[in-house]
Amino acid sequence: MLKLNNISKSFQTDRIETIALSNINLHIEKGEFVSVMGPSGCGKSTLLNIMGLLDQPSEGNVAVDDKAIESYQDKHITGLRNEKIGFIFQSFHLIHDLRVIDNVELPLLYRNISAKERKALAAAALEKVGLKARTHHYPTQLSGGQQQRVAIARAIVGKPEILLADEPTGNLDSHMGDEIMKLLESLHQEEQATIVMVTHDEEMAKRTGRTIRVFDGQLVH
Amino acid sequence: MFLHLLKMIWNRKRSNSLIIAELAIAFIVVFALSVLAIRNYNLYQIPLGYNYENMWRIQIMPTRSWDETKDEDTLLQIIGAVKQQPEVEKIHLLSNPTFRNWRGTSSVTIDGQEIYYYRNRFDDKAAETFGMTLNDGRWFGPQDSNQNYSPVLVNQEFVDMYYPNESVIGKNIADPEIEDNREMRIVGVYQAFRQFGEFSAIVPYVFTRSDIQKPGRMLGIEVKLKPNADDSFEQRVLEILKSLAPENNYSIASWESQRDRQIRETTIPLTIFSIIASFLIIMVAMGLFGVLWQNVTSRTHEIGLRRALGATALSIHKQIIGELAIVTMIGVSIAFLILVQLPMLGVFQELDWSLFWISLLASLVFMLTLAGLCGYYPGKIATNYSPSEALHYE
Amino acid sequence: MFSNYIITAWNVFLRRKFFTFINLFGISITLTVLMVVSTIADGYFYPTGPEKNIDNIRVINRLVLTNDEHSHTNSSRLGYKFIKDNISRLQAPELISINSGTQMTAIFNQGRKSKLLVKKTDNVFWQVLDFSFVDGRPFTQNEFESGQFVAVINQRTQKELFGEESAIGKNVSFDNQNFNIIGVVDNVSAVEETALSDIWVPYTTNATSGYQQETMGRWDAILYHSDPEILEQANQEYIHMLKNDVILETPEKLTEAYSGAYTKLESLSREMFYEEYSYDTHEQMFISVMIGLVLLFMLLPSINMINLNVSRIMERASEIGVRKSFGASTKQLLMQFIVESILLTLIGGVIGILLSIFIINSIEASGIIPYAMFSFNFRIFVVGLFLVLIFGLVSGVYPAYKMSRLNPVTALKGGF
Repeated sequence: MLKLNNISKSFQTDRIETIALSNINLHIEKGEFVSVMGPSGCGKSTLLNIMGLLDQPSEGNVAVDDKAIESYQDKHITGLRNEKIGFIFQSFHLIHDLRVIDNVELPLLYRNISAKERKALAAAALEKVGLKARTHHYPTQLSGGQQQRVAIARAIVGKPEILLADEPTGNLDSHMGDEIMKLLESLHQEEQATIVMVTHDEEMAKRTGRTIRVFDGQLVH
Repeated sequence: MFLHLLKMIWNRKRSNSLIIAELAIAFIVVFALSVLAIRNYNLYQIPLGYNYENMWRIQIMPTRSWDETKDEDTLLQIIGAVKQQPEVEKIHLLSNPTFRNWRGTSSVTIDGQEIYYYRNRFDDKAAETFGMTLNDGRWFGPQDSNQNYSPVLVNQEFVDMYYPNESVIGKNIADPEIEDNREMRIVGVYQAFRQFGEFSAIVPYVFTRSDIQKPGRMLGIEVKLKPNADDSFEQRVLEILKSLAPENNYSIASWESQRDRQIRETTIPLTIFSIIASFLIIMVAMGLFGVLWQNVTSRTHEIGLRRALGATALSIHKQIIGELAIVTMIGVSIAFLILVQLPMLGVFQELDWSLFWISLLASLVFMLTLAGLCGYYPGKIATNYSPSEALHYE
Repeated sequence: MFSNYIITAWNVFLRRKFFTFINLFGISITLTVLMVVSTIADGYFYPTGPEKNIDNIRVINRLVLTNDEHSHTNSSRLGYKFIKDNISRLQAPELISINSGTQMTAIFNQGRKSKLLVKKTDNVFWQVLDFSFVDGRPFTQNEFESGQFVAVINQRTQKELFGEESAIGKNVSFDNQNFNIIGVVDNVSAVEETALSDIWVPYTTNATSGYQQETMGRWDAILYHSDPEILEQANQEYIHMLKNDVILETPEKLTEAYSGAYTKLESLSREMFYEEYSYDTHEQMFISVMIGLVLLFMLLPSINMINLNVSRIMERASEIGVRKSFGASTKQLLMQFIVESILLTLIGGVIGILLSIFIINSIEASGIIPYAMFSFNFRIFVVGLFLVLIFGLVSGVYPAYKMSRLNPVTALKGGF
């Protein structure tokens, strides 16, 4: 369902060219729970950004549902991001000016859905992550774990085909981290969600179906 | 430290350039305001050179041009009639009235020097009645009648401007170009006669003599009234004048009321300008404050790093205010390059170098104070970040 | 979708009260200044009093006479003789009124002094201007020609001299003459300089006829035609006359005459860019200078708001990153930020309009401009709206454009 073919990525700075990824071939099947591991700076976040169509590879191509991405022009990929992909970030990235419910319905804003339906879907997503009571709070009024659960609700509200999580437990203590992990596991088992998760934690990685190791921009088997 | 701050500013030049532009324009506004305030304050401090209390002017407004023979007789009749009123203490002639912008100017070239001056005309005893001060020579007197010269009185500014370090008594300032021109002999120097009021510039000013027995074309009569005069004087005099010479219109006004009107006319536009300028400056101050605040918040990471590397709270505070001070100075320097053109090119006659530098200094102090105030609170927020918290924040 | 932009914008304003306040302060004060100025200008150029038929009249109120070498020049209002000898010969105008400038006159009433403006006119004056009479009538051709001592006064004069009583049939005395009051009109705003006065009497009541010999003097002529186009022809005809067959009798033997039958805009711009020996009024230059001044005044608030908005939007870099990750397009984000700034300027605009109404009312009450009555009309509203939109776009579009194009990965890092 998500294929990376011969992906390379290099960053051009003033004087030097840094190679972040080289020759990556990767295939994520529907319903998989994959973890990505590797030391800092190995390129795993870049890999996730390329999977999420946030970043453009220097070489190779990405195929979603067997269709290769031909153009990274704004109008071509915004729709794909919106419908196919759900993001979960290490530092939550909730919009502080918006209430919890408005944060969750955000992906639906960019589709043609009535306000009433949006609210209903967002409320359902919040219920799934167990935060129904916090619907009308502002993000800053919540604990870190709760904020991350709001972020997960936001990621799943649009029923994307794949969830991309960048160290979702990295900013949380072990207890809260465990709760978030359980939530992801239940999404995987009950809703058959496809999840790709970057993590530093071997224990977390063990709980996923498959672990990909990245070292110096390359996959290690 | 200074170079380090400069480097920081340069690296953020894109976002700083708009702030610098804003500060430069704000500085120009502050400068304009201080020039106006300082200039008018200074002028207001200088004595008028005469007293306006109990002085009234009767203005004659003919509906046709002056007739040499007929109208002089009429004027003498008018003077005679006004003199007889019980309230009248003294009566004089003055060509251009006080506190109004009626002006006469002349320009002559004498010994290669262009002498430009304002002129007016009054009779022998007028200077004493107006309360003017004599610095040198004498006032006009009967000895000036039927002479082959016309006597003139000049003010101190005239002497300081054209004949410094020289005695001017007896000097001739007639225009040599005009034939049949009687010698204009300076007989006295008086301190000042600021015809245009407290907010007017100090200008060279010359009085020529008018003989109240043979006044010639004169359309204003100055009357000093006893302190208890009331409206009935005005009504009575208007009726008498209208019956003496119905072809003219007349108006009577006290010097004091003209002075009030002139001060109002000067201060109203200044007040409006000051209010608008103050709002602009408040706007800039608040904007600057807001930008700095956000700037500090978004630089939490950098500040935390500096703290972790051993910067004290004070040095962080100094850094924030120091950066702002440098940005302000850059803005001020740009504004300075624009403003310095004004006195260099002589765009405004009134803006001389001393006024320019004083106003510049005042505006600079003001702008730096303003910048300091705007930077104080954001700087304080920055010092409150603990290194660990600041580094964690991402 | 659109309502969402507005709801989001509203939330942002409420959450960031301080920045909302600074923005609103800047917008509303700037707009207030511009609105007050344009309301006064509107009152001046589109009068609502006796000069409301402004398109049908042209005023000649300045004359420059000079000799061939320009070594001797007189400049003042017109003399009566000049009007009779020259302006009366014009073919194009339907009506020509002759009247004197106003004269501040002391009027004594039971020992109390009032200072009032007196204007001396002909009977045509009442036809070319559209006075509204609250009582009585204007003077007739017959009364004017036979030099009857009749007067029209304004309401302020009636109140000052007679209190609440009707003034019709009573007398008003000044300059040793006694006038019978036959009409009372509304007060005329001081911005309507041609109509302005407190008392109007026929100039045929002048005590002597000396004024009839003057080439330069204190008189104005008003040209009237029901078709504004023909008035422009009248101006051409007048200037042609001045150039070719002007009749001048002056002791100094002056031969060249410069003058014109100008609209209000032309008169104003001629005064500003005064050129003695020319018929040109430079109104194009005048308009450009005015627009330039307005832009200059708007410069500082605009830069201030751009600065604020840039840093306000920069701070929201991570929000932009999130929105982009979840599928917001550049266009949608651009819209979002533009709606935010336009909504903010609209709110500022409403405050600005309320403030200007307050200030205009204060100006009317203070008497700085005597009898001024300004009104907010559709024109002013359009000007205000236009200014608001300009502001919103200037201050919002550049930062919004800059931010909406951010790469989502960098935006998420909060970087720029």
